[in-house]
Amino acid sequence: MPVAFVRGVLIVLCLLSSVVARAARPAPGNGYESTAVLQSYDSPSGGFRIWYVLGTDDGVDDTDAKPANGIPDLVELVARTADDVHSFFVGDMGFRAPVVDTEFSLADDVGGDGRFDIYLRRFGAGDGSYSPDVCQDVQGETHCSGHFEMEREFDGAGYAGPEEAVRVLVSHEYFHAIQAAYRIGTDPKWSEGTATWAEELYDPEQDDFERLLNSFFRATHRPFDRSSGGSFDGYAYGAAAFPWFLGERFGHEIVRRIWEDLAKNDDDFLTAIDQRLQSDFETSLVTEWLRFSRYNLFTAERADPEIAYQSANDWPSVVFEEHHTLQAPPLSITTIIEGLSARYVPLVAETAQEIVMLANIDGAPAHMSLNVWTDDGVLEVAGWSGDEGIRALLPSGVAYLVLTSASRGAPMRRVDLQLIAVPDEGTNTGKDQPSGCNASDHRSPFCSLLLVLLALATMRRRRGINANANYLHNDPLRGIALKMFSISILCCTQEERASQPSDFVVDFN
Amino acid sequence: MNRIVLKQAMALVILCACGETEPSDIAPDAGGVSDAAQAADANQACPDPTVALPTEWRPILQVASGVVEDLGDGSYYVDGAAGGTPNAPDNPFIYLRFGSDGLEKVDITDIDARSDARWDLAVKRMVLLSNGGDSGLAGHSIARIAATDIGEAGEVPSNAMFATDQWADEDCDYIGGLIGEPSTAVGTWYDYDTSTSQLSPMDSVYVLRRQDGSEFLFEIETYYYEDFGSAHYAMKFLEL
Repeated sequence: MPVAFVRGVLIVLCLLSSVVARAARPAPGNGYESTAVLQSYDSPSGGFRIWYVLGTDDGVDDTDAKPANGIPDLVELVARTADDVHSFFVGDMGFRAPVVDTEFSLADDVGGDGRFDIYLRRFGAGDGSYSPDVCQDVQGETHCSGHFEMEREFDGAGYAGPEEAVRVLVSHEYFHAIQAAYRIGTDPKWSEGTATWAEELYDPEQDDFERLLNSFFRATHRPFDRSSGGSFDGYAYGAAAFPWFLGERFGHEIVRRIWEDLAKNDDDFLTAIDQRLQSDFETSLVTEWLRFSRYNLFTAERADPEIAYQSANDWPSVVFEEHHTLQAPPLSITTIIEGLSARYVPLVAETAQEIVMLANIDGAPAHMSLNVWTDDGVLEVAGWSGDEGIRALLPSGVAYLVLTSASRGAPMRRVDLQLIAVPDEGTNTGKDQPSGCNASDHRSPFCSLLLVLLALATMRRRRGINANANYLHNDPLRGIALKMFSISILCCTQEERASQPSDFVVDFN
Repeated sequence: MNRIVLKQAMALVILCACGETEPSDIAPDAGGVSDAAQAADANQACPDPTVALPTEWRPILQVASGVVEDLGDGSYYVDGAAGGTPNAPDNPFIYLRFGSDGLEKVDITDIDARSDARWDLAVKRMVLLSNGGDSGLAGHSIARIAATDIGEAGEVPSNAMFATDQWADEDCDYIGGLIGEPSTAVGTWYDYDTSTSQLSPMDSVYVLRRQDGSEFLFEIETYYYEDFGSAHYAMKFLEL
C-alpha cells in the first residue's frame, strides 16, 4: 500500500489557490472521541491556545506537579515551548509569523480568536500534522491560516522523553504554519525538508533530525528534482540534508530568503534555490549539488568538519553500491544515474594501485569525484566530469567514488566505468603516497599516453581526457589549493608524484 | 517512531477535506470508466509524458524481478510488489502479455516499454498500466464493465467507454490519482477498508482492446495472493 506521512501538512493533494477551503477543526466526534470534553489553556505569551481532553483515550497525562496549578504539566510544556519556538523563528530568525485565524474573517467557523491553536490528541499513526483552515490571495501571494494537532503521549515513539518530543513536534509543525504564510503546496522535499531542518535548528540536541536523515541517505540515487507522487517512505523528511547543507555553506538565513522568493513567484523550489545562489553567492544549483553529493560522503565515521558538515558524526552514512576490489584491473563497473542524484562506489585496493578510470555515459553527463583516505588521514580528491578519463594513484585501502548527476530532468541512464591498471614503473608502494603530479614533467610521456589511448579504444564511444571538470576548483576542502592540470599529468613519474605535498588535490579542467 | 507512516486512510481524509471522491464512490457502472480515464485521448501534445511522473512512478531502467505463474485454475499469480512498499519507488513495473498460452511476463524495462508493443498490462503496487496513451505506443484502450467476474461479464456493451492512460496533460504537467499515483484507464479498481487498510477489488471486469480490434476481459481476483503480502495479485483473463 502506498503511504503518506504524518508529521506533515494535510493538504498535499488539494492545493489551494485564491480561497477558500476550510478544514474542520478537531472536536468531539471529529478527531476526538465523541464523549470528549475539550479544555484549553493559553500560553504565557497569549499567542497560543492549547486544546486537550482528560480521562479518555485522547486524554493527556494528568500529572500536575510542576507547578500544581490545575493544568496538566504536559499542556504547560507545550504552551511554553510554542512561545519559545515562535520567538526563535519569528523573533530571532525573521520568518513571517503564521497567519492568525481571525485574519480572513472566518474566526467563528474555525474556532479561532487570534491565538494559534494546538490540539493534543491520540494519533493512530504518526504524531503530528498541520492543516490550513483558510487560504486567501494577498497581493499576489497565497497565505493560509491553520492549526496543528500533535500526539499527547510519547511512550515507545523513539524520543528521549516528552520534552524532546514536544520540542520536535512543536517546532516542526509550527514551521509548517510559518510556511503557510509564504506559500502552500510546495514540493514535500522542501516543505517537509525545511520543517525538519527547523527542528534541528531550534534544538540541535534532539536526535529526530538525524534519524530522519536516514531516509534520504539510503536513497541518494533517487532524482531529487522529480516531484513526489504519494509517499512511500520518509525521503522528503530526510531531504532536510539539503537545506542544512545550504545553511552551512551560506548561512541558515538562506532558507528564509528562498521561502520569501517562493512567496513572490511561481517558481519551483529548486529554481528558487538556483536563482538565490546565483544572485547572492555567484554559484549555482548544479555547482552546489555536486558539492552536496560529496559532503554527504563525509558523515558518520567519515565525518570531518574541516572537509564537510560541521557536526555529522552522528548522522547516518550514505548507502554504498557494491564495493569493487582492484586486485586485477581492468575492472568494469556499470550503474545507473538520473536527475539530481548521487551514487557512492567503494573501490578497495589491497595494494597501492595506479589506475586510469574512464567513464562512458549515455545522455546527460555525470560527474565523478574520487575520494581517498590514507593512513595519516589525508584526503586526496580527484574530480572530473562526463565522458572523460582520469589517472590516479590509489593507496591501499578504500577509495570512494562519488558519481553525481546534476542534470535536472535527466532520465535514468547507464554509466559504464572502466578501471585500467597502469604498470608499476618505480619503487613507490603508494601506501603513504599522495597522488598528483605537476605539469613540468618531462619523462616517459609516451608509455602512459599510449596506455590511455589503448584504454580509450576499449570504450564504445569517443571521450576526452581531463577536460571540463572544474567543479572542484576553489573547493574549500581544508583550504587546499587546487591545481590545474593538462594532458601532461599522464606523463609524470611516480617519484615525482611522491614529491607532491601530502594534502595535494588533483583537479582537471 | 510511529509518526512516520500514515497509511492510505490519511490520504482519504485529505481528500474528504478537499471535496474529492473516495474510491468507494467510483461506481462500477456498466460501460463506465474513471473520470481521469475519460479525459484520455485529449492529450497528444506532451512529447514525453514520463517527464511528468513523480519519483515513485518514474521509469526504472531495470527488468522486474517478480514472476508470473499459472495457478492452474484459469488464474495467474502476478508479483506486482516491486520489492515492497519502501523499495517500490526504485523498482520497475512488471509487464504482462495476454498470450495464446496464458498470461506471460515480458522482460523489458520501464524505459523500453515506452516503445514496445508486446505488452498489454503492467503492474506496480496498486497501479495497472495499459499499453496506450501516455504509457505506451500499442494503442490499447480499456473499458470497465460492472460484473462480479469474467463469467458474468458476457459481451462487451455497445456503449462501453474505452480510454487510454493519461497521466500528463498537454503541458506535461502530472495528472495524479487519488493518492498521487498515475492516472490510468484502469484507474481505481479497488475499495479501501480503512479499518484494515486493505484493498479489495470492486465488482468490475475490464476490457482491454488492442489496436487491431481484438479484445480481452480481465479481472483482479485479489491483491493479497496467499500470504505473500500486498500487491501480490491473482488475475484472470479471457480472449473474446
